[in-house]
Amino acid sequence: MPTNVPTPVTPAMTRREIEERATEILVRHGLFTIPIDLVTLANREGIKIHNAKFSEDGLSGMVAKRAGATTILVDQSEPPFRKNFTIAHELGHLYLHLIGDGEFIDSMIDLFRVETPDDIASEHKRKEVQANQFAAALLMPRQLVMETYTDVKDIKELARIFNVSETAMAIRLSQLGLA
Amino acid sequence: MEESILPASLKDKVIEIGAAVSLQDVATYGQLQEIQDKSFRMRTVVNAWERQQTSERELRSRYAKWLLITLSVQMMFVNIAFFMIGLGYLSVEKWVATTFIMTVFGEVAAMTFIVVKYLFPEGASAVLALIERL
Repeated sequence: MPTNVPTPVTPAMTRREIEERATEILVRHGLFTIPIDLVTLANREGIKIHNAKFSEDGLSGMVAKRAGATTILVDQSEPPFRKNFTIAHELGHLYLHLIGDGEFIDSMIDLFRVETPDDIASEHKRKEVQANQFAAALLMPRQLVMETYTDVKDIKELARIFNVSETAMAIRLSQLGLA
Repeated sequence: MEESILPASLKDKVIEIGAAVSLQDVATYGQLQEIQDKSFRMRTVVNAWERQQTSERELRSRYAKWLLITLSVQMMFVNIAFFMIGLGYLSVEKWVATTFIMTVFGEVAAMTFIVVKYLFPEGASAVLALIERL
């Protein structure tokens, strides 16, 4: 959930624009190879990522930006691929929504949020959907998934190659019209 | 540690900030790869060991078979000689007959010892030690 620090109204970015933004960031840092190395990406951007123990159950991660310094915290108890997706999700908020200072606190529900007609009316839900789209595009770039899919059709194997959960890979393949 | 850069509004959400997330923290792929590599090495060793065991077992089986045939022929020959001597068809000195029969039985005992000791060695402790090292 976004906190009380005002952030600009979410621009109505299309999925394609979000995809292009994620790809552009990866290409710019020379990280357009699988598996996507988010830790190196964050390091190069000067973003600090730390494990953390949260006071509320269900919190998965948060991102805070203050005076140019950005910190991402992820739940230390989460498995590796979940942490990876949480980091990608928080990077989505950072690149898409945090124009100035601000923060986002994300629960498990936010990380599983997919686009529904109701989301059009909700600024918060729209941001979460966009952050998830960005995370998917960042961890599973369209071009790399398409190329890999020509050789590997098994979701389990694809998930392993891209370092994501099988659920995330299944959703991505569905979005790309491959499954 | 990094609490100083956390906005006040977030501090109540965080009990503790741990170490920086490293590549290993999120490298499921690398961890899986490592497990698969280890599994591959293990399977390679076990498969090689299995093939070697099968090959050796067949070789031992052939040796044992021919040793048994040889010993059977020899025993048969000794028994025939024994009866021929007993029935008077063959005449040899008593000490020659005794030595001959004792020698053959000594040979049988030695062969049995060799078969047990060398054709059926103790378990594959070396292979198990190798698997443990993997």
